[in-house]
Amino acid sequence: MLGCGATEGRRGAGERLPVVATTMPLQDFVRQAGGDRVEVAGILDAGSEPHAYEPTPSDADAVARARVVVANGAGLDDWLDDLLAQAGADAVRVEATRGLRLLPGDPHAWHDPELAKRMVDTIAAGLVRADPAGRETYRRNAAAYRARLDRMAADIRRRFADVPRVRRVLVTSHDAFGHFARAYDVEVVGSVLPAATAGAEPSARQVRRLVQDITTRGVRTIFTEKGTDPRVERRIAEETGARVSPALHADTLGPPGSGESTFVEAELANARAMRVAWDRP
Amino acid sequence: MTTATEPAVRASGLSVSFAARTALEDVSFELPRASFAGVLGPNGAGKTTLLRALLGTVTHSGSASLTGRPAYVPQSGGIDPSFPVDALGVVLMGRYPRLGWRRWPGREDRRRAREILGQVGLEREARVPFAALSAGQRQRALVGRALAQEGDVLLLDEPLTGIDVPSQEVILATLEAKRRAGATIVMTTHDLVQAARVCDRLLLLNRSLVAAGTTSEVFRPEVLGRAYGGELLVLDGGAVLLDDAHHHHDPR
Amino acid sequence: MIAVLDAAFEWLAEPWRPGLMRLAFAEAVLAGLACGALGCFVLVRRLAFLGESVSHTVVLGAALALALGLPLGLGAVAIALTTAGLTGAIASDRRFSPDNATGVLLPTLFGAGVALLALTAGGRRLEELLFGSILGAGASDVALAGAVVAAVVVALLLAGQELVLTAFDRSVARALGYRVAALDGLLLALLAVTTVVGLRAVGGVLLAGLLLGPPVVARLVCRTFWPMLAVAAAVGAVAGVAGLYLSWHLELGAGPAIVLVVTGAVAIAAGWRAVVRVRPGHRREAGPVTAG
Repeated sequence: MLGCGATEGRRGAGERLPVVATTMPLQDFVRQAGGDRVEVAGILDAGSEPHAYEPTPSDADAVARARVVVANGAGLDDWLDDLLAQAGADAVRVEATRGLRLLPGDPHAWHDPELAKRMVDTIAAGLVRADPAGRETYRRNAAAYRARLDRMAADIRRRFADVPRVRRVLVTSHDAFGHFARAYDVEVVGSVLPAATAGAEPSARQVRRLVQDITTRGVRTIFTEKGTDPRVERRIAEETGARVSPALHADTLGPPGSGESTFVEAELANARAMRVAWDRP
Repeated sequence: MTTATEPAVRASGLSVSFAARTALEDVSFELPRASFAGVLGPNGAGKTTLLRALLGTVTHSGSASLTGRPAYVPQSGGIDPSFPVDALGVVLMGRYPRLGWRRWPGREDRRRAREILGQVGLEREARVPFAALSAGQRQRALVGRALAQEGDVLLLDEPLTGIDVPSQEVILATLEAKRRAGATIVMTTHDLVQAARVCDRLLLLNRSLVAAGTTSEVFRPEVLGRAYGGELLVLDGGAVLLDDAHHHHDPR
Repeated sequence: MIAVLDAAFEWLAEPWRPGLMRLAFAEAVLAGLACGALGCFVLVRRLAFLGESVSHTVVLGAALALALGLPLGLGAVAIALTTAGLTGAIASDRRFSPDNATGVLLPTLFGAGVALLALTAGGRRLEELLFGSILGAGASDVALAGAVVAAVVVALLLAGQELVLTAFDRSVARALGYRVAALDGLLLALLAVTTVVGLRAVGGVLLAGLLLGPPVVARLVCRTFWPMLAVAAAVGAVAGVAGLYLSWHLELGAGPAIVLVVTGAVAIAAGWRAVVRVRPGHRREAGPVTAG
């Protein structure tokens, strides 16, 4: 335990509030709300699987030094509880989805822009609790980001507007886009991996159901995810005549410098990919 | 091509060392064709090592050679008795070297194998699993495997140890029959009396060769004493008792 | 009556219609054949722990391959051969027993494999390697499995008897002039490529079950080696098919379902054998000496 800034006057000039956030979207939200006042350390990166993550010693170290710990909640990062036992007693714990009505079994709330705004507010409130002196800054940033999210949502809706409802269908690797679908009037026909836990391979029965659904609904594209080898997706595509698409950002964001490294950029990229896929014959 | 006068087994200056110790030291002898040689000596004398050196499966200095095809029956401890094979299968294994390009035994091989089973008294146990055979029956099957190899020199490591007397007799009779047909037998044993009875030549080994020659030459108390040292007991009437550490039962 | 037959036929025929299922069936059958056959050698040579060790450390090989960007099979084979070699070397050192060897190697290499995977790929790749991804089997996977089975068949045709004799009685094999070290190498190489195929089918954690289960079943019903090998290969193949049926009609993961069938077969065979043992007239093992 480094005991840095435990109880003494915490920040001189140039000292940022150390915050730890689990998922990459959350890390981005914290940066957006916190601006220059925060130093964000992330636990999950582009290659990690949030549903079955094993924390490393450096994660424990980051958590120990943090003044605010931001988790998603809703079952996505339950493994954090053990890790939190190592955080300093005065670290503010933020459960970003607290108080939100989510789709059952789907913790990927941030794909719904209304829920994303509420999550940003919750995070900002947590930052204020840890650093009351920054209240104005955090609130201002949060408001600005909410407006940004509104613009993003309008952008996406515009992009989808002239796609007939019947073509606005999603089949993805795992079931991460339920909230997205509800927000943007898209239908999730199915996903390759069962439920919200990206666990074992689907059973043959599940694959069979998905193939049927894809065929009945005329789905033309199977959306994969970054960082996975889409073998089963390819087989299903061969079977149904659908195409395997470029990957979507489901749980993660792109690496820095990729142009898809913030949540807004990544979500717009997702929307572009979907539009392109729906436009194909 | 074996000539009548060429020795079947020859060793010259044979020495074998393992990491820490010398197993055989400067062993030299010759065995004529169709002899039945017993290799005697206390435990650790190098009897097994001698056979392995003759077969060429252990590195040695000096020379060790056999004339003709060898057939080997090692000590039975190395075999997993639960291996899924029946008596016929064991004997058939002896036919493998002769299969050549065929790779798998044919009708003639099986016929010959059954014949051999008859010679060792296992004709009714052909399909019995090896695990279900008694120790004596197993040993007879392993000897049968050696017979199936149709070797000119048979090397057997303690083939009669720990098996029932009828089986021992069957094995000895079979070996004697092979010897009369021209094969040379080399058998290690720690049963002195039995060796004196059935062997016509004896090699007395205790890391080095203590004595080699005909049975009557070697089987004398003073000669045996050089190999066995204090374990030897000579009774009146010339009978010899070996106080073998193996068979000690009383807690003295 | 017709309706019942129709339903039964439909129940049997349905899983074969989708192309991906046909590929999965092919992969399962080939993996079952290879694992069942090779597992017999592992079992009779009392190398059961080695088999498990190799199969688990194939995970490490796959992880290394991923990390280096190599084809998965290559890394897996390399590590499998290394493990086998290491275990053999440790086992032949008289200070260790084979159990010690694998007892040391197995957790170390498996743990290293899992750790490496978590570092490089994480998540789904790890699950795939641990529990199999047979439904993702494509034409190239099936072709590889087919090549492995063909290699095993050829090797057994050409060197089968030598392999059996070396397993039964090593010293006689040596005395007959067989190159036992080369034969060991052949066996380990076959084992390595077989475990790579089995890895696809049932994953690293369950692979030992597919490798050793069918031979155990076969051993309980066969008395000699080659029938045992044939039965084990058949059990492996049938388990592959049956497991996929279970995955199709019930909601079971394919890899675990296959191993579940194997486990059931072991239980049934053991039970049958126990009953047979109780029957009078059964020959006792190593009974008293009979005349002749």
